[in-house]
Amino acid sequence: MFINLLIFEIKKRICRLSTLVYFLLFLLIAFLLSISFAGAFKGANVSLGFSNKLALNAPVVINFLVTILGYFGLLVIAPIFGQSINKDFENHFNQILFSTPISKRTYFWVRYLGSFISSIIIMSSLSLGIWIATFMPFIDRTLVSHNQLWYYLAPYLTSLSPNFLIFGGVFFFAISLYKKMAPVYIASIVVFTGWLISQNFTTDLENKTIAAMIDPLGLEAAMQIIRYWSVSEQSTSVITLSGIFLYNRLLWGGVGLFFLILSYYLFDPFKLPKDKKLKSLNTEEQVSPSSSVYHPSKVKINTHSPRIFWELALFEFKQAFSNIYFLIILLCGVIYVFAISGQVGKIYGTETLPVTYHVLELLGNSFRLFIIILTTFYAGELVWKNRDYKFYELVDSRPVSNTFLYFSKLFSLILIQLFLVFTILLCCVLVQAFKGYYNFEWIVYIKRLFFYSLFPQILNSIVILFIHSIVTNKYVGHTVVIIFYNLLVWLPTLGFDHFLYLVGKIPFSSYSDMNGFGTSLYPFLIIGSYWGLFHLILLILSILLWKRGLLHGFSHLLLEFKRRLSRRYKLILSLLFIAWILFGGFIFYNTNILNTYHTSKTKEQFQVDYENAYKYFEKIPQIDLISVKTNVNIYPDTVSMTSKSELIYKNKNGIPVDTIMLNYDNDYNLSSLIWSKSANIVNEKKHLGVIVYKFEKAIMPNEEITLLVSSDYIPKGFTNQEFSKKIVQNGSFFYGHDYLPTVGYLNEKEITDEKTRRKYQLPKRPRIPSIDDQDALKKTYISSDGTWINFEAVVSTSMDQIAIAPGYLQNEWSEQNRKYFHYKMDRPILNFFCILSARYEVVKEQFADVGIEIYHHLGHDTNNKRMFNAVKKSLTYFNKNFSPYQFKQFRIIEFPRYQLFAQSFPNTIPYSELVGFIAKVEDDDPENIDYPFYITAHELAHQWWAHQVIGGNVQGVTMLSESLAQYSALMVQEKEFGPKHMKKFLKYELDKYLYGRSKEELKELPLMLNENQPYIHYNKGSLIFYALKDYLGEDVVNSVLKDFIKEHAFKDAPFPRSIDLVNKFKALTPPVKQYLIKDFFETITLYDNRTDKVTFKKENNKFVVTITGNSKKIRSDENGQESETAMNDILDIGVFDKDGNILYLKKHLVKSGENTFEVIVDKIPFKGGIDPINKLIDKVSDDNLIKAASVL
Amino acid sequence: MLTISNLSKTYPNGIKALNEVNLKIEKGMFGLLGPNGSGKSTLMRTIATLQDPDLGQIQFDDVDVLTRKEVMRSKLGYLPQEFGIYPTSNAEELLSHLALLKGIADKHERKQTVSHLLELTNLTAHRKKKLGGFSGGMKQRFGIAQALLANPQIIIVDEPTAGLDPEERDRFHNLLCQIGENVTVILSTHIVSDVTVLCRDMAIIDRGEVLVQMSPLLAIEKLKGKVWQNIFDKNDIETAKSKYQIISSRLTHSKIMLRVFSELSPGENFQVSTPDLEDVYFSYIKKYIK
Repeated sequence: MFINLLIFEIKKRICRLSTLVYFLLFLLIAFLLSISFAGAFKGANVSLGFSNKLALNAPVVINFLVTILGYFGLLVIAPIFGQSINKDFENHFNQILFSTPISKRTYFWVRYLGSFISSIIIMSSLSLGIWIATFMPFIDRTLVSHNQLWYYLAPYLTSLSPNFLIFGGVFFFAISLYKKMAPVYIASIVVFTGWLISQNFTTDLENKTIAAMIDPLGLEAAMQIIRYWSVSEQSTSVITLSGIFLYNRLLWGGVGLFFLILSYYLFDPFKLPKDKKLKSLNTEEQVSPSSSVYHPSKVKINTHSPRIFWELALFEFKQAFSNIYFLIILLCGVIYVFAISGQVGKIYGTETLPVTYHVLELLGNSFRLFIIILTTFYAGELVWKNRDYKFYELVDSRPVSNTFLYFSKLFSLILIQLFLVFTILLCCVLVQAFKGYYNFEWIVYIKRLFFYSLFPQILNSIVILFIHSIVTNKYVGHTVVIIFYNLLVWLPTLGFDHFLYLVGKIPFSSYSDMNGFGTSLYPFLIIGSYWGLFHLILLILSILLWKRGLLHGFSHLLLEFKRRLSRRYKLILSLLFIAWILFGGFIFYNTNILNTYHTSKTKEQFQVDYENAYKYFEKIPQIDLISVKTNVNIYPDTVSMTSKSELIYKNKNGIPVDTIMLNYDNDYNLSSLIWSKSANIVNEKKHLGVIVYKFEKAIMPNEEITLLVSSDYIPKGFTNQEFSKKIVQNGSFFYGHDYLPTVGYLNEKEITDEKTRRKYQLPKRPRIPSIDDQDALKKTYISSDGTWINFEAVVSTSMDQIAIAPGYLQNEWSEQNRKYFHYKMDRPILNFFCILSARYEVVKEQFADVGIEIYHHLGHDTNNKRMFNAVKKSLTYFNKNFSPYQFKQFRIIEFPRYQLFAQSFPNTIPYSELVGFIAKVEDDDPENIDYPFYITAHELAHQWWAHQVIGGNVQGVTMLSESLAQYSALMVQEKEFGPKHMKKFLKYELDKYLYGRSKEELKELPLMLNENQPYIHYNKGSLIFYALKDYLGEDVVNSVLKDFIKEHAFKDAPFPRSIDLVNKFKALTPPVKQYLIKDFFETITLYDNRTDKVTFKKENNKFVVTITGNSKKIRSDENGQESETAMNDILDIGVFDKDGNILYLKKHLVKSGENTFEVIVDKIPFKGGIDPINKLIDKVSDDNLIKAASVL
Repeated sequence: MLTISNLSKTYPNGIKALNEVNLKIEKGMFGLLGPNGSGKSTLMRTIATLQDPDLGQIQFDDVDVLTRKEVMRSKLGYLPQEFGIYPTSNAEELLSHLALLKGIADKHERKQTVSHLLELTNLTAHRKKKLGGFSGGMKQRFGIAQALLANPQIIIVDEPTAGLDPEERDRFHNLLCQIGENVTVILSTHIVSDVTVLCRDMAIIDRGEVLVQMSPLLAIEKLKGKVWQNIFDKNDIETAKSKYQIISSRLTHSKIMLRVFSELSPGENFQVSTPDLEDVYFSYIKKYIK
């Protein structure tokens, strides 16, 4: 009976048209997403956050696609589950149904299992879609590996089925309690919120477990399982139910089961929906004869009174708050915002000050999704509520005009937008207050929320109302709205990104304390007017299309529209249309005529053209820059600059040079280029920014020639690009190579992404020349046209600003209401300089013979002390251990938060507003990482590791700069904060390294050969050099570095290589530790140490601790393919007391496999293990240290 | 006066809901009788400006209803056959909202009107109650209240007494009579006796066509002597059905009483019977009278 019913139930569902539609829909979505992942569309690669070289049918990719699309499938599944029971109630069929002999148990479980199985059947389309995609000839075939059935099935077992069981339970609960569909949708949104929150929790390592557990979808947990998987593992291993993923599934499976069982008991098949009705029928009052008589009263009827419109809008607005679903979604949004507020802006687990723009952007942008959901949902309600409740005949037969009806709806939507904006304002202020920050910048709130955000929100409301007014069914309307949103998201990624057709998109610059909203206002007003007019047209069309009375399909609507389209409307519409076109023309004039507009695809094509046309110049000897004298005038008011420079070049090749290739940025206008020797232009491509000169007489070896350049940046109107972040009203920061030409072929202009290169049939591109390439050692990795230059600059700016360039201030004067600053370097510097200008506060301190200066924005002085301290401590350490500081001055200069970094120029460190200036370091929390201190130390270290010793442009070069800067900063930090502090820092470094390698796009390389890969040169660099110091001793490491500086500082080509430094270490490493050099620098070596048992017993007032563990050393190839290697290594064995103090920490010989150690300590041990403080790179680092157990 | 001329409407699915309907409706109560699906509701909705006909005209006093809907709407009170309410609003709120839509902009006036109508329909005690908790009868009373908003000149009520208990029905009829003294009231119903009692004029409509427009009393008068009745055995019913023009049949103690339309006596066992409006109705619907 049960089985028969079940089969009948499933058959019935599968035969439904909607099932087929959903199946095909999800098949199509999975297919499209798959082929775009596999590079089917030029310029539109969807990486999904995976490595670029991971195959489409790798198990983790399939798992991700199936799980995430499965979630969206949930929105489909929701009605399937919901309606399975609900349908019978809505049709009042239940009373008939339950008068048959079918039992409640059978009914319930047949419906539940039927829903479950048919959902899985529908969602099997996902795997099918991916599978079909793997056979498409037009995708990048290298991104398809051998298809394995198991890869396709596994996600259904571990992710999708549990999810459907879980949500099926929750949905059935919602249905049996409310007998309505809406709670089911709400449940889906609640689940989604859980996933969003979990994603935000992962920024802090401490919260990783919580993050994995609170995601009901299990996606976050699965991602954590594969977090450290190498690309090779990701391509061949299926995510099994284990570890945190298993716990997540168990937890949520339990929750689902709980709800399912609960709903089974709560489920009363005979109850009518809303039992209130029954009650009220029983409490029906006795009709007492009314004494009153109908007397037609004279009332004034004025259907055009503005009062009516206003009160109608208020009525609709109030209705929103009696809508329980509206309130629940709102609550989800608010909970979400508060849940993530603790996680925002953390760097190394340290919080930032909750400054207004930061809180506002992080919370506001998170909340935006909920604003969109709420607006979309409620706009639908507004339009369709009358019909849903069959109330429309009462409304539509009233004399109130369509215009009023429409405007009352629109206005209530606007009121809702205002309310939501106030909500976010309140959330932000509360978050700030909770964090003890009371500097509320109301002006920023008002401008951002009530101007830049609110206006597009209102436009969006108009669009949604319009869409609902042209469709004849609410759900069709919602579908069209969702398609519309998707188009807006996808079009730009496909290269269609012009303001003129991205409906309602109005650009504005993000807020910076320094630069405010920059030059956002003017383009915002123009493009805002353009879209405002467009939406006015939509608004009028919506009124003309307003549904009144009985509806007979779209043609009826159109007929009505034509009838209502009076001459007056035609006139207004034409006028608006003309105005709209005019504004459009003006925008086009700005973006495409005054400025050039290229789609991302065109830009890609330019890169290809550049490579194809000029690659041969790589082999043609060019000249080197040796001196720069530059006059730069910055005009903050007009965000423009002019410059005149004298550049001196020298032919350092042994042979004459007669052809010179010059590159320039075509945002700048190079009005004159005059060589001191006559030369002819033989080739010029403006769009590629290239001029090729042929000298009439060749430049002889060692001959110097001069180039006089005038280069201006004068913005005209506005562009379709992002706002310029370089020359701004307050906080200009640009590079020398931005406005000055560069000689020779620029390798960095090439397309780097291999997927894209294959599409354009470009040859494979080495990221950087091989370490054996002797030719490449002629150049540094910082600049390709000259290394050491003499530098002098005169920079002028407005009266209220200070302009800065590398060098020492020679003179400062005012002239014609402008400020002039003359800077000069007394020694050659790297060909790497920048110009800055802003209204600065200056703080100075003298430290021995070095002047330390911080230029910061007014009020951004919270971390001045930390920065000064870091500079002093670093100078002391570096001077003592490396070499003397080559400059007499060190300057930290704040720049707007548009970019998030600090960068080391000669005696000059531009430092982002967002990085160190708003860090909130808790001094009383010893675990809090003082990253302003760390970053300052790191950047200062670059004055040695880059500005003294600069490596040749080959593999491993960044080890000489970045890794050594990390090491130097670590040493200063260790001295300042102690070794315990280092543990937390290195934990982040380990996480970032292991995570970074799982996302490797091309190939992972050993530290010594790394190809400018940040996760290697920063994060692995820290770990390796810290361990090296531990194994060889700080003195030995520093003496090698000192020696290395002595040998290579300020030298010209050939430049040093990483291997030169490694060889120096090798020479000083005792034979028993020689394996370290190989492990650390020459190979990718990972450990898997695990402590299995720690026991202790008391003997003569001492404690004998026995530690048993398992060790494994692994070598990985460039794809992450691992192989075990024999181990005969020296590792830390440690024992700690309850407070984490070291009782014992010494190095022991550890072999592959099981090892047992016995050590004696004085106090009661609490924990012990192998490599307990994770000095080595360990794939699973949290099982090294375990609790000790006493044995009697 | 409401004048309907040549009104026709065909739905997209081919159903002819109205076919050349012509009616002249004077002030007072007007009954519209017809079976389900006869086009009553279409006609009502068309007069209530909720639907457009394919052809024809409607004139109310000096207003062309189809082109000047807004004017018509301001004179109109309409109670649809089936309607819903916002379950989370209360009666006072929603009635006030509808008054607003009617154009009563003044807050004070609106309040007075609303409270008067709530009292009239005996809802004052429930004015703060959520409409979701209203019974069928209470909801119907709410419907009546809203139809009377702002002194309508023409009131259209579609099956208004469905769901009301007898006492409520009486009260409603009294109310309608009161109102009908000054304004046009169109009452659509299939409860024939209501029309007899209330209406001065009526029309019978079926399949979109007006079969007759006449005063109910006159219609009954015209049928005098043409309605006959007799009691039959259950077994004879089939032969009887094929033999006579049957108006109605009623089962009593395994016997069946038949009422039959006939100009002359249909048989010796038949007795002439006093006609009522129901006989009129069926005689027209079954096309015994043309």
